[in-house]
Amino acid sequence: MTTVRQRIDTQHRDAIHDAQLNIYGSRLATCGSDRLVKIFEVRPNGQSYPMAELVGHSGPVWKVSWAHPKYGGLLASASYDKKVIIWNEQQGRWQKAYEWAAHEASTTCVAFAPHQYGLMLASASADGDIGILRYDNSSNEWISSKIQKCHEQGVNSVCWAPGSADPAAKKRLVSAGNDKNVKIWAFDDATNEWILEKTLAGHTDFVREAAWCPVTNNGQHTIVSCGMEGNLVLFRTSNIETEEWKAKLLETAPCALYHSSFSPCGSFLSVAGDDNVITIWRENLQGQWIKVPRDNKEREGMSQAVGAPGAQR
Amino acid sequence: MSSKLYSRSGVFVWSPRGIQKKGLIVADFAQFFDPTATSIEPKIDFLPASEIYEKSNLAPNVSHATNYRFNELAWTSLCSDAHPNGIIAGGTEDGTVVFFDADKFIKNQSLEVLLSRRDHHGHVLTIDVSRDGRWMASGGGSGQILLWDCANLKTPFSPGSPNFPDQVKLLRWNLKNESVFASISSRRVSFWDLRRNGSPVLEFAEIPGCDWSSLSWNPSDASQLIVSSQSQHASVIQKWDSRFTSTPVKEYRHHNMGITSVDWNKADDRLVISSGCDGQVVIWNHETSEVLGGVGSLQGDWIRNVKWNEEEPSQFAIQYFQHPVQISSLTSLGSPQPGADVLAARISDQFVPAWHRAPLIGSSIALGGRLATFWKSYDAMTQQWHHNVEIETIVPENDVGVNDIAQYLHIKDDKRNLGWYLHERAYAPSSDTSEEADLTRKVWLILLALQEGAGRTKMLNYLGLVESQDEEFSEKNAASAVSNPNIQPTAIPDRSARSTSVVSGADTDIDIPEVTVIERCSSVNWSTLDNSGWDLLLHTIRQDHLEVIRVLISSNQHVAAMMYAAQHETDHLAMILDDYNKKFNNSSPLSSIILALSSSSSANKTEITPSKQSSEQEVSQQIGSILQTFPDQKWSELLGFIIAHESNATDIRLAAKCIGKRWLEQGKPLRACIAFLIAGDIDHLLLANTSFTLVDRLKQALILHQVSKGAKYSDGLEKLIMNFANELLIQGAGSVAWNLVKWSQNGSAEMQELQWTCYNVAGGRDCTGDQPPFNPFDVALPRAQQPPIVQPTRTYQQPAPIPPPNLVNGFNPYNPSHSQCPPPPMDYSNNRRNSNLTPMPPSSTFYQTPSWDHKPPPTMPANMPPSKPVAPVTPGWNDPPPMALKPTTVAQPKQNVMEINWKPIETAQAPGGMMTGQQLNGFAGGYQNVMTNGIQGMSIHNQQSSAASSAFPSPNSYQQRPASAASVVAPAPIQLSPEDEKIIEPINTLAQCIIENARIQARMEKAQDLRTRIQAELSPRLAANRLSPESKQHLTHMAYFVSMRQIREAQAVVAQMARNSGDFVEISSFLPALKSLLSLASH
Repeated sequence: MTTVRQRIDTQHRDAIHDAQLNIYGSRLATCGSDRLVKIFEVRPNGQSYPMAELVGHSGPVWKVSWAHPKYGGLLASASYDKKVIIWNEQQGRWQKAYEWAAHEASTTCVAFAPHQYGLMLASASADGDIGILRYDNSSNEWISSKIQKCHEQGVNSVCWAPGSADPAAKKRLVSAGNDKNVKIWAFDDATNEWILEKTLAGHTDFVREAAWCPVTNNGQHTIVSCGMEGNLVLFRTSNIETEEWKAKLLETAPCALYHSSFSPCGSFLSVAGDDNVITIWRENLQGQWIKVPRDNKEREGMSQAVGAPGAQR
Repeated sequence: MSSKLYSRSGVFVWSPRGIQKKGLIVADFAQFFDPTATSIEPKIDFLPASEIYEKSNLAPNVSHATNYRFNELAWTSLCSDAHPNGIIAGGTEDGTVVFFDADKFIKNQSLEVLLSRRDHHGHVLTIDVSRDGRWMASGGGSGQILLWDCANLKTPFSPGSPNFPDQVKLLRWNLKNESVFASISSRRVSFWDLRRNGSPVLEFAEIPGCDWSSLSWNPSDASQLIVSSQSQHASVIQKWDSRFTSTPVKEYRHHNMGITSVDWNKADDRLVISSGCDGQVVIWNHETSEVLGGVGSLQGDWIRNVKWNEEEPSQFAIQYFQHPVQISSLTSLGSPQPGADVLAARISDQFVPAWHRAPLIGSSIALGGRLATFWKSYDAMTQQWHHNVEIETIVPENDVGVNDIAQYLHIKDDKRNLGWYLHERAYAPSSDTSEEADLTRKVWLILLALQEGAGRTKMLNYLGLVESQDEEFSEKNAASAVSNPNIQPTAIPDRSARSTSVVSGADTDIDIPEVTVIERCSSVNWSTLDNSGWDLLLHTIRQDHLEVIRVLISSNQHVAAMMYAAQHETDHLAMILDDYNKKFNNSSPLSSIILALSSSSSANKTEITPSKQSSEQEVSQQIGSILQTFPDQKWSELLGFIIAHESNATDIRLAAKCIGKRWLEQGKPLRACIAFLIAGDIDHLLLANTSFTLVDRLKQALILHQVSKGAKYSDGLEKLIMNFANELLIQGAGSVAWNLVKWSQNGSAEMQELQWTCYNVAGGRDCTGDQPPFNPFDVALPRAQQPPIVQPTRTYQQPAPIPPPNLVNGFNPYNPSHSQCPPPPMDYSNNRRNSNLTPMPPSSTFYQTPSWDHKPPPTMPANMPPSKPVAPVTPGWNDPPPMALKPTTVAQPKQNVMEINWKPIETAQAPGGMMTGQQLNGFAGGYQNVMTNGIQGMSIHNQQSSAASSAFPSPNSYQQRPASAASVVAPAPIQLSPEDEKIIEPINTLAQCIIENARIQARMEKAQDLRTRIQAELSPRLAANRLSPESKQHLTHMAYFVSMRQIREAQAVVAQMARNSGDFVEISSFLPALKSLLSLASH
């Protein structure tokens, strides 16, 4: 079950496209079609206070991502104006740290890498490319590179593999795109290039998001993806180097699924879809994923609009 | 953003959604007229969607010859095993409707005609497929419309009779309702419903001057449609609603000349595209009438049709009457076609197509189970959409013990509550009478003993080896009291010397080096012991020397009995000799002479070699030897034997650790728990107590850590704390996790990261009230580049610094005076105990914490000299001192305490004889040694607290100092004279006996309270000499009777004092407590 819910009045003037808590749950960043990024301070008792309103994008902002607290207050935003902007907090004030005209089309997603990789950032775009941004401590500069033609007709999301204390471990990330595929990319230190390591099938329509579980359980990696056909697919491997992934269909929703993400400890999985329902999953001791009982308050708002309630998920 | 031209002109159709083979089909246009190309054979082509991206010049990769020239094509998505990619249908100029298989056609096998019928009266002008792909409708001359079942292509149906003979120029199926379609003629729009057979359901839009040319349905609203007029004089586009057909909903004028085509985007219902005779292709928003963009088009020809690609919503195709087909996109089309830049489609950047939008619902999860959700809802009252953001906490149903550990963290510094908690755990009602349940209870009991700071007797009692009955204890104390007046300090070395002499006399006067009990026991063959042997062992554990001698005598082991008596109680030697003489009829006069002269014998003093320290490996081997012959079911006797007879606390712990390891290897973890508790080994305890729950394991380890006053967590304990704190974070209990990890000092890097994380999850300083811990992350913010902003690096608050080294030097001036004349340690330990019993107000606690951190070092030396005792009294080595409670303090004072703690050992070892006396006395000596270390530590800390208070005078501090002075407990402070001490000491001893023997918690607490009150009221009056000589005499008499355990006589004296004393005002403050204590003792 969940505790009492606390509403946050963001005062966004248009649709909200993302709301991200930092790893501590003490800060919340929201973004929307009004081109603004807003930051709130959140207390454990549910109280919230507006901290900042970030102006800089000239189009709707699709996604925000928090960096590891090791880097202080650092936030990245992705927008329809094809840009990625990095904001940082200096003595309680937020300002633009870097602006990257990353892509040739709408930038759909942005994700900071685990801190074991250093300060790195990945962005996804409707132009089919994935952008990689890395901060070089020696030159104090952001260095950008591209993975081109990742997904035909556009990339919808990127997510990094869990960080590892092993310096020799490969950097990996997973992407989801409109070619109905989920792809795993690995960085080759020898050639200094990102290569396609694996293509995972399991969807028959656009894949909206693929999330990589931030925690490896005895070397076991987990990826969850959701698509427009309503499929929620779990991919798993016990040995990341052998490239053998097993797919399992967790659920087929009666509507498109837009969102799937893990909690920082890898214990919870949250899924959201077009029927205005957000579900929380967790893995039990037998390795099965079950839903955490939760009051789906979001559904009430949709039933009034459409008149007749659809199939209950 | 780009356009490309196909290789030829023609009529086209996009592939529908759900089809695997995606692309464009182009066929010859029926109304195409090219005089120079009359002889060219008609063809039908397929252009794959992938090649639209990859190739610069678009050419078909599939092409078939055909006899048909089409007015319109349609592609149904109704797939089956026979038709995996659907069916293609076309209406021709000669009135034929043709159906052929899409899969075979695309795979370049053949053009398989499934059906070709000529049922229309004239040419077929339009054809369209329903949303579900089931029905194909064709329209043409004479207002005729035919329906075709794509699942059963045989004879067409008729939806009904038209009301007008105008030719059907275009028909389109509704995009939400599979049984509804609309058709247009030049004059009107007809609305058909298959569920109501007959004439059209509705006919509207009869507007003079308009010549309807195209029709499109709203993809989101089933009742809205758009029609366009190709009239040169009325070039309008109108939006109609089938629920209100008297007038159009909206009218648009985006073209200067007649409009030839209009199409609604399926993925974004705001987007509409239209083409006109003015050569313009315009993209506009039907909601706002705003023109969003357009496409360049080829000049010199008319545009006949534009249509969006359903599969790729940013693409559309343009059909000219004569020019090649043009494919355009609002985004990139991949490789550009040379020369086609002027045809690029352009749209306003301010408009965001729906297929580019991010989802309007989602969530994110943080540590502590914090969940943030965003979603939209519709407010029926205000008819508006709301976009909501909410925060909540996920709490899984399986509890790992949040409340349990929170309760422990709450009471861990309260000794009474913690002791009560352990007592409850040990005596929890259980129907399980198995050995494992008994062992589990013993684990909690031993932990309780350690927490209480209990002595050997209570420890042995919890092991089940010693019965604690009041009668026995009273009898023993009576015997001890009898011998007390006769004991002189100088008698101890003499007695030891005498004992040694006797032993040496029994041997050949050879000096034997002293060895540990464990080492000597390794040569005993324990398996050969019978019942009397085990009885003997138990009596030695219980220090019942008379019984030990009796067992030996009854087994005719008179020589061993004499040796034992020589070591412990020489008074029994005569009895042993007398028994020997009787049993063996020894009538030798020599023995009689010795027996008669035994009372006047004297011994020569012999120097004793101090014992050597054993290494762990040696002890482990000795334990191994013992365990080989020691019966396994007698495990508690083995532990009890070590506790009772090993003189050195370090040796006890070392032996217990070795035994525990052996038992752990043998698969007896619960026994090993008990051994590791006695050993104070936390890491091994965590290896052994795996049968307990995680929270119980953690509590046992934390209590053991608390008791041993370690400055730093061991590796095993730290890992367990981190593991459990992570579980608490998953449970959503961030504040409990912070309360758990915040006590760690100088932990590992992982522990420091976890501390910082838990502190932030719990809400930081505002919510926890704690100072921030050390921030393990070195914050190196990247510098801003655009615009270049250089800001100073943010500095985090550092934790309170470790006290400077000169604080430690502050203790050095005390060392000379300490070594010269050590003060009575019991004084300060009792002071500390009392201050612990009086809880300070929260404000005072908050104030005192900074004062400790900021205490100036020079203050310490100034306060040290006055604390020296004026008349130090050496405690009697033979007297069991009272139990000193060890309060829990912050880590920094513990660290100082730990350093000073070991100095008294060197001091105590200086007089070698005294140390030897301790060892030779076995239990008593070791007991005092343990207590001496603890007491010394307490005294050092107490002085620090006093100095801290005096350094910062404040109202709180001032208020507490008098209370603290008034609460001084016995033994009296240094001002007490020896005469006064004789009054206080028996009372303390009596109270301690009651506390130790109490089987009921209430009785124990009552005795503690009474003792506290007596000390608080009586000691200062004695020190200040405020009692009359008469009252003092009464107290002296009472103390004498108390020490003799003559409670009734003591009560009589107290009653007499109450009746006769003149200073009743002074006496009345402690008299009731004294009476109650004596009353407790008499039961």
